[in-house]
Amino acid sequence: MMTDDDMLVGFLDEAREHLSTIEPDLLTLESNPKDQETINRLFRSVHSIKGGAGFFGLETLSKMAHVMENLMSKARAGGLTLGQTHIDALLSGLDKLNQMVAEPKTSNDIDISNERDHLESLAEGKEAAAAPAPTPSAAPATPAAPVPPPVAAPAVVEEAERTMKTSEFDLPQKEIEWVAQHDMNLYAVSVYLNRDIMSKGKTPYQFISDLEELGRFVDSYLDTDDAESLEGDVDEEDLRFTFVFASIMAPAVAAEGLAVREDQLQHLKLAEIKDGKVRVTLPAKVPKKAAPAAAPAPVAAPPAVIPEPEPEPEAESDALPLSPPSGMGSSKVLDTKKVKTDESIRVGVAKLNKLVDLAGELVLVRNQLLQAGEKESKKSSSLMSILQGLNMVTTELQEEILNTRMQAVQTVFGKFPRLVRELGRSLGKDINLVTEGGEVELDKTVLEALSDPLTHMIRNTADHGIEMPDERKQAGKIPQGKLLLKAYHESGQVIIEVSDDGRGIDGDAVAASAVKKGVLTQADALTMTDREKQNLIFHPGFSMAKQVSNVSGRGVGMDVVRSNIEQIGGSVDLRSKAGQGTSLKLTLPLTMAIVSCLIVESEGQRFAIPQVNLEELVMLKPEDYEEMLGYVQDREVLRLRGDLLPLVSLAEGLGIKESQPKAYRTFLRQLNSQQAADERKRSETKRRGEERSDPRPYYNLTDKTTEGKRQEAVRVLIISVGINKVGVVVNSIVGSEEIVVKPMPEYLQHLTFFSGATILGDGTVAMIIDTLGFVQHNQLSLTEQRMQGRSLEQAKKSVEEAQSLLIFDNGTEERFAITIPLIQRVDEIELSQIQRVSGKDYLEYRGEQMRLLHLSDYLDVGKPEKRSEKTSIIIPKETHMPVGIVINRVIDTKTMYIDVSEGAIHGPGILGSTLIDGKITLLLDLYALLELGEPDALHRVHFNESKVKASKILVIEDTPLFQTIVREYLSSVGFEVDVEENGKLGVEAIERKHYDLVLCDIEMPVMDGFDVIRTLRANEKFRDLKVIALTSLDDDKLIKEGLAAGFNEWMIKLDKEKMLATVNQYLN
Amino acid sequence: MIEFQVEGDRLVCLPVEEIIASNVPTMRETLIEHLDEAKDWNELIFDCHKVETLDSIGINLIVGLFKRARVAGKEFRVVGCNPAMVKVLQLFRLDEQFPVEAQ
Repeated sequence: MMTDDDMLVGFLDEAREHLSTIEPDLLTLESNPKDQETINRLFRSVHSIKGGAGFFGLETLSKMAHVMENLMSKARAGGLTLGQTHIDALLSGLDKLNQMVAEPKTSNDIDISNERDHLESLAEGKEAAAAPAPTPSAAPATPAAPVPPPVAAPAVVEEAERTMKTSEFDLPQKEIEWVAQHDMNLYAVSVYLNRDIMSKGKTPYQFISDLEELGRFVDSYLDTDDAESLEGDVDEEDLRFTFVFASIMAPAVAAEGLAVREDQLQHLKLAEIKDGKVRVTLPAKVPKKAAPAAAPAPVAAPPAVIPEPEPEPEAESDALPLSPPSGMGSSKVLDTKKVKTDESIRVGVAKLNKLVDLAGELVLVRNQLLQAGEKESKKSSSLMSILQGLNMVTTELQEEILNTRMQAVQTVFGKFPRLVRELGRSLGKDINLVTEGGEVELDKTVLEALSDPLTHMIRNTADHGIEMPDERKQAGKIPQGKLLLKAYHESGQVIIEVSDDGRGIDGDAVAASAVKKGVLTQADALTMTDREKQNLIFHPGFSMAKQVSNVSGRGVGMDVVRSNIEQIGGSVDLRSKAGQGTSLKLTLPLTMAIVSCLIVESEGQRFAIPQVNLEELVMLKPEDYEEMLGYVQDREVLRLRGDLLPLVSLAEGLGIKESQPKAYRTFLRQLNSQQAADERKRSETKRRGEERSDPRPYYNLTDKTTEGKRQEAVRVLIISVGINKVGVVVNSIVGSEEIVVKPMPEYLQHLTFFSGATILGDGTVAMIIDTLGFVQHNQLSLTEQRMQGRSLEQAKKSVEEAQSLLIFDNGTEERFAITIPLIQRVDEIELSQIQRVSGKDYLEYRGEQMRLLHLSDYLDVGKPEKRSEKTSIIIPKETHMPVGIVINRVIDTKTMYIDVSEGAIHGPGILGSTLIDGKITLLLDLYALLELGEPDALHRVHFNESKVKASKILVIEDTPLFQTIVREYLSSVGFEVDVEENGKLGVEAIERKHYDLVLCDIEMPVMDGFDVIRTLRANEKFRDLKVIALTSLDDDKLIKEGLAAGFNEWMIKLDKEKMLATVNQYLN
Repeated sequence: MIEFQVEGDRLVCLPVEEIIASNVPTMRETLIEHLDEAKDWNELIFDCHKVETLDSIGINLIVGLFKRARVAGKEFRVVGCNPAMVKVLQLFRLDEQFPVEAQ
């Protein structure tokens, strides 16, 4: 049995369905105001909502619908033409309806006065509307007063076929008192037996009984005056039943409750009928025989209380014919109606979900049975065919069940015409929204998750993508911008494209904005391709708008769009061409319940990786190691067709301990230790001043171990996440399978690298890898990871700590960089000016003899074959005597955050290497170079040798470049140096081990320098420990604060001499 | 189908099927035919005791029959009505125009 609540839920469902059609219909009317069919549909939708709402006591909802209906009713009768003002008012009314249907419980508290007043005044023609509204002037409430026929509009001619009829009642005083006592409303109603009762499949008795449930008949009569005798056409005859009805129903809903049109009903005011005499005038059909005479005649103006008569009497009866041509005809009509109602039934989504789950379980059991059955089938031949049958039925069953949850994309697309219309108006742009493929179906859950991201994308496109009409004209485009929303199938997935013909995305502007916002460093920006720059719009906290506008600045960024899409197993691809437009392509799975996956094995466990994220599989043979493996930015990388992809083993990435080291790992380790050994060897060679025995460049790794060749092949999955790709090493690949996703239990949901689990055919459980989670968890991105997980504060800091670099070449293929603060000047010289004295080159420079150093003489770098006549020199700062370093030419200067990859390229005079503009650039250690080439040029700080040997220094520093430089400087003098990358680790190290001196950075993640010094000074044990702040923050206030907090000294970074002098001072 | 009985100057019409749209045309033809043939009656009795349902077209038939009798200056009465029919005829105030008797 249905409870009231069930019925209310049913009504709300229905109301939502109606609401979803109202908006597109209104927009259709805006472009085609005369579309009668649409007006009728609109009217019916609003009308149904009004009726239902009244029944359930949702008065405000009912009122709102009522005034909307009134306006539409006028439009329907041809009384007015809907212009933009009307549509606007109706749309704002629609918003209120939506709001109230969404929150039925509080709907009566919602204020609709503005919308209502506006609609009412429009309906009354008080407000100037965009279109003229030829409303007939009010006439007295008397029967048909003949007026000259108006200039005929079709609606008006129809109008002429109708007339009014006055009925009189003499109500018993007793009844009137009863009505007053029970606080009831009194209505006079007029219905026709055929048109209003028969056509709804009711007998008069049923009609009466239905009404008696809503109130009581006070008086009534059947008008038989015009009835014909038996010989007349009684089948065609339609008698008028007029009655006075008492009910608690409010006037706004009475017509709906009584199943009559508004104009068939008149609300009687008790005060006016105290004597029981009632005289009402209600519309009447012109008697058939009188019809010809009525044609040229009177337009009846309705009494003021009664809304305009409607030209289409069947509106209430869902377009059933006014009166059936014959008895048979009518039952036929009824049959059709019956069939229609049986075509679909409402089923709760929860029920469907349960079915989907069960079908999933069935599939899993089927898979297991198939595997088990295959062995058995050899014994029993019939078993296999039974299994095959089961297999087929199960597959089909699952497909069908999944189909029940499929909905057309149009349900989401449908709301965009209005959005675009409003965006266009508020932004002053002319936007033409074109939707294609609305019939493409997607799983309900996918569709629901799609709604918000799509809305945001469309907002963005309208706001940023499409230009103002003037701008478009100047660019040679038509003033109207086009926004295309297109859905289609492609290789088993659904693609939704949002594209425009707007200005496109300017990668450089995006990057500049990102740098300004601190989500990106200048350095990162410079190494990015245009596509990567455009894709920055997907970064958290990024918004392109110069000013946060109402339109797109709603606190949701494209990052949320992307993560929402990825959460439902889809992906977003951005393509944009400056000046030509932008296209966002969403690739979506048809359903989230079944995922096509590659099953892989790692450390004896099986994992499922969604195919959608898989780019390719790479088999790495031992002979490929050397070519394809390496270190960049301290990470293992895979070189694949010119790209460098981060490489991680699946097990390691998931935190599973590997039983035995992977082959390629051994290779990489050897590579590393070999490099280290080579370095040691080289530096020893240098110190002894011997000729270098090994002339090959330090990054040449051809010295391959024979062991490496014995290692087995490695399987690498290339996984794409956003525009990034990573390589994931697995032990073996089992095969691909359509798996049924079982969601993660709540207590495991914090494991972001799994998206769910599944049961495989052999009964084992396999976890499904969430590729996005996996990549983020392992920070697997060469260019983007620096931004991820980094707060704005930290991001700002990295800009502050960015290095100004002078980038140059030396006439070879190598590129070099030196930090600019160490350089005094760069100058151009002529080769002919160089003088060679006892194997050393000198130049007369500003009146002094300047020693010239050639990089290739001291460093493991290539020697230029030939120098041009004019060449450049770099003159370092703070040397005792003038020294110049000969280079070929300066390429660029850049300020960037540097990640020195020590592992890959490292050597005497080389701090490390980094990628600049995609090229490996060697970072020169200027002091080391001077020490090698012209040691006398350096100011030397004289350390007490025994002190040096006994002293241990801790450097707390998060920036890899500074870690390297400071450690190099200190160890070059002979100190034992430890480095920790943040304050917390630093303090832990201090507690663990004795240090004579601590050099501490200020801006650091986890725990900054201030916290370090406060922690240390709070501990008696470390109250006297010498701690020097070593920072690039040069701010008087901060320095004061730092010294007050307990730093022994505040030192600005990167002056080697000063640093060594200070260290020396504190150690003595 | 309608059965006819003559009881003195009364002509009794006994519909043996529902008085609804699908049956009314036939009923009407039968009635016209029979009333024309049998001219000696003074009172027309429409006996509904075999009728369960009366629809709008059925009402038309009864009203038409009443008018026909009145035009001829004859009496008309509806008898054997089930409570539903009585209620409808009363609400339509037809009982003020001709006698309506319950079963």
